[in-house]
Amino acid sequence: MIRSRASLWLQGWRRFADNKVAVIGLAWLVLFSIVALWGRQLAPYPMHYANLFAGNEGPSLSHPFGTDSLGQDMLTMVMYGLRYTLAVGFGATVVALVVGVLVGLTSGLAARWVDEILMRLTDFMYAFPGFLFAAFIIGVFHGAIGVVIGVFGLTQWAGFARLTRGLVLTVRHSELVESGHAIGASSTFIALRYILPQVINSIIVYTAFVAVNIITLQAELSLFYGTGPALPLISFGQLISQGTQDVLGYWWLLVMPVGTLISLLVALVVVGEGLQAALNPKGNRIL
Amino acid sequence: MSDNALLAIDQVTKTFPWGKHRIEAVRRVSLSIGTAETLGLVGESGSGKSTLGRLAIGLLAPDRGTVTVSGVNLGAVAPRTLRTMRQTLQIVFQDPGAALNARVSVAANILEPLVVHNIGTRDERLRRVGRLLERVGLTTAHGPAMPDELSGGQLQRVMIARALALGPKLLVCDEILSALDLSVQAQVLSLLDDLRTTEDLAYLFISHNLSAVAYLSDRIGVMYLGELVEWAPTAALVAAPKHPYTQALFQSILEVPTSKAARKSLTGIPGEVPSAIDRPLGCAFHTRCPLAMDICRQEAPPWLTVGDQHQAACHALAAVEEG
Amino acid sequence: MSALFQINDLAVSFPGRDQTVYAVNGLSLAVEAGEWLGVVGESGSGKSVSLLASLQLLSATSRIDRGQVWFDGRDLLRLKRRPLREILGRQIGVIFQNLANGLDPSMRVGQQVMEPMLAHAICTKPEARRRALDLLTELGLSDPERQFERYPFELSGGMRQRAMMAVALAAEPALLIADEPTTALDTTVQLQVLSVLQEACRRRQMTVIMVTHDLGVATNVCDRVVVMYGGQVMENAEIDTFIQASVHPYTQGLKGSMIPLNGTHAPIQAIEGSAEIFHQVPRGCPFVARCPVAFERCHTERPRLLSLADGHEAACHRVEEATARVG
Ligand SMILES: Nc1ncnc2c1ncn2[C@@H]1O[C@H](COP(=O)(O)OP(=O)(O)OP(=O)(O)O)[C@@H](O)[C@H]1O
Ligand SMILES: Nc1ncnc2c1ncn2[C@@H]1O[C@H](COP(=O)(O)OP(=O)(O)OP(=O)(O)O)[C@@H](O)[C@H]1O
Ligand code: SF4
Ligand SMILES: [Mg+2]
Ligand SMILES: [Mg+2]
Repeated sequence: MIRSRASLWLQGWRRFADNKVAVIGLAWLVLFSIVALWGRQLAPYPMHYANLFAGNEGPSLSHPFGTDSLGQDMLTMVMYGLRYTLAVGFGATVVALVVGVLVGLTSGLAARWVDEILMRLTDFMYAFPGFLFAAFIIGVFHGAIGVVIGVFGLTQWAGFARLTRGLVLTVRHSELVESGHAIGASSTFIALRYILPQVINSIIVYTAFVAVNIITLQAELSLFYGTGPALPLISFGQLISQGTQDVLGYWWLLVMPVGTLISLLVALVVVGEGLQAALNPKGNRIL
Repeated sequence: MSDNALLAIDQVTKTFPWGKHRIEAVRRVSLSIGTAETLGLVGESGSGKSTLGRLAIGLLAPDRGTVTVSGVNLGAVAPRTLRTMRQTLQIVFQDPGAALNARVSVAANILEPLVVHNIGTRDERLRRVGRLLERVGLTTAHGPAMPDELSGGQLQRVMIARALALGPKLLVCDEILSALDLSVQAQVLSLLDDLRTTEDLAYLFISHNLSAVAYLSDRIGVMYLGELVEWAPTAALVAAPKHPYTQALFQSILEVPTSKAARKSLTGIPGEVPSAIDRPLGCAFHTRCPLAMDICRQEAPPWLTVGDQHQAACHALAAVEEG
Repeated sequence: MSALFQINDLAVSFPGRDQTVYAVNGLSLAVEAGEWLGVVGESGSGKSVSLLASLQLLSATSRIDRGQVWFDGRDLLRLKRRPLREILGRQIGVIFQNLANGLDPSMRVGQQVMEPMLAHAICTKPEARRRALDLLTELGLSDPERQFERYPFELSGGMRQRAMMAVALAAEPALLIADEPTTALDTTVQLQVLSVLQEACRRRQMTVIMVTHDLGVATNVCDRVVVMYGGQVMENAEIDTFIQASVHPYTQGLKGSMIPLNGTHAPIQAIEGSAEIFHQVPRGCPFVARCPVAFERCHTERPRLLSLADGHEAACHRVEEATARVG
């Protein structure tokens, strides 16, 4: 008779699992994460192992993604690229999430003037030319990974802040919370049972989309401005920009990294949409 | 005001901040409800009915005046005691879909108040939930359902069951019928009617549906711009409303006409809607009142007894009485 | 006469893991320009679902099984998001039934009322502000200028409902779809608000589709009423016919369950039984389980919408037999 949140998460997971496309996307992400975590061990060749006699070879059994002009194995490079990209994507998303949720919570719960100030700041950050700023800072620090994570995290939190504030305001003045007070529940009970669950689902969903955004930005940045990490790290942007130079003769140099990057983004979007439908089925918030 | 009243609201004022100003949402209202009595509350949208309902059960604290429940002043007790007192004071809202916890089953929703107040063992609680479900016209089979699987009428019953779980003495019903269709309205009304006798329950019944208020209430209070302007036993008020605002309220009821040609012309009360911040001097209704006289623009109207237990605050009535 | 907005054979369901809910089962209705159509029927009869579905505003758990929705020569169900957004808020205004869903809780009221005018670039910001203020004043909201700066939670239920109505009316839409637009209003404000809508209908030929439980409201403002049950049309009648000569047993039941205003305590005549949820597409008449005059045919055969007179249709086997006998 007492179905509760645990089984609701289960229900959510079931709804998610019913969505075949989303499950494939999730599997893809898991695969990529494994590659990123144990890339060093899994890569077929050491990084920057150059075999000048095997330069610009097309895909083959020994080099499934082909080799570049220096004879470096593209699969290895792509795996390292994935490692860097996921580290940045994950790290920066977490930073944006933490900052944004904290700002949003404060804004939604604190006094009016605090709210005013924080929302001004948020609006400013929303309109802020984060891309140029990031390009500048990252250029100065030569794409050191900590800096990249910090910069992207700190330019992308505004969306989280707005979302969280909106959710908190909705829930805080909802009849649900009032009915909690009416039965004599404590504030902790209300926060944990009524407010948090409502807020969490939407934030989880939004996280997937922010990750997409950050990964795209980061790739664009190193593609257009050449600001990538210093060797031995490598980003997709760098790989792709190298690939574009040789694209006419050696398509795999471009197609392999681009394909991997796009499949990563598509997987994230698909998982995000799946989460949306599974966790927020009634999310008929319009326009 | 009788001492044995279940709820006694005495000269209560509640203000909310509004920019640099404050708005008096409820202004010097006094009323009382006895055990198992039903007080209907009607009035202009935004006149402070919901605010008064929340004040009555201590969800809001008054700025001035006192709210007394069974002789205990809610303003003078510690928050913890207030939380315990909530057992006797409950509220049901307009939108049951929004007021129930959508993440847990119907039974778990009804159980929550018992868990919060730590009443009974697990088995006892479950048995109680079963009884409550039956009490509001559902069955134990509805227990495992999730809120979004039930209809609006069924959800409103669940809400009532949840409110009844702690055995309250006073139930505030804030527009609980407006989301329901006619036949479910009728069912919920007769359920409330029933509970009144079986559970000794008193209601503060807030609604725009004058027929429903008249059906259920023993007495009716009428509010305008934060103030009570008339109150009377139901039959007296329905038969002969005295205050010009109450009259407008009743005259504005849309009844099914006999034909398209016989329709009511649609006009609200003419005149300017008064500001809640810069309250009109004198009688708050004078900007729109067809009977307004000079004195209405200057002096607050006195309370007059215009019938058996029937009171209204209006200068025109005083003039009639004198003349 | 060509219709401004037309729903053709719409079917909507909510597939679940265990069972599917068939909410709308072959609904067809049409409104002409300048007409005011009332949609009545009890909880769960599919009023909200069908209208929301026709604007593609239903949540992801729903499925549109078939049907078309014609507006301005286009099928709204086949439109992509972007062109649909162009239409919503500008040509079609929507007032939602659920107060909690209609307004954005984190945005000031005034901004929300101006939004449709600004989003569709209908006028400049100061102009939008002026129009929004006029609209709120017309709708009887006190202190409109100051209400502008408030958040929805600071408004009373009826104020919120009127703010939502202002959002829907702001861009002067050709069609207003209003789901229970006056439930949170007292009788005097209700009159005022309805008169504003009526003015808009007269002055600039606005068309209204209004869902309501309140037969008093429906009969006083609508030109025509459609009665729904089980996601289908049971009866469709011009207002005079609806008042004086409605024939469907469900319509009769609906009329009978009105609470009389007399301060007496007479028992209320509700329709027997309670609203059903359909886990299968009803084979016969959806009302059969609760109909006092049902017979065998009602269980097995779906009654078709029979034209009884000009502007009067009903879907009922009893009615069909009675007319066959007479005619
Ligand atoms: N939390 C709040 N903050 C600020 N103002 C509020 C708040 N709650 C209510 N008010 C104001 O108090 C006044 C009375 O509101 P209340 O909700 O009590 O009216 P009501 O009589 O219930 O109206 P309705 O019939 O429309 O529900 C309104 O002017 C409203 O704007
Ligand atoms: N999200 C949902 N999931 C499952 N079933 C749903 C959902 N939303 C609506 N339904 C079902 O669809 C049917 C039609 O609902 P709808 O909201 O259209 O009724 P309505 O006529 O608008 O009723 P009311 O007068 O109460 O607003 C109901 O049986 C309802 O239970
Ligand atoms: S006091 Fe005057 S203004 Fe107020 S209601 Fe009576 S007659 Fe009208
Ligand atoms: Mg209210
Ligand atoms: Mg509805």
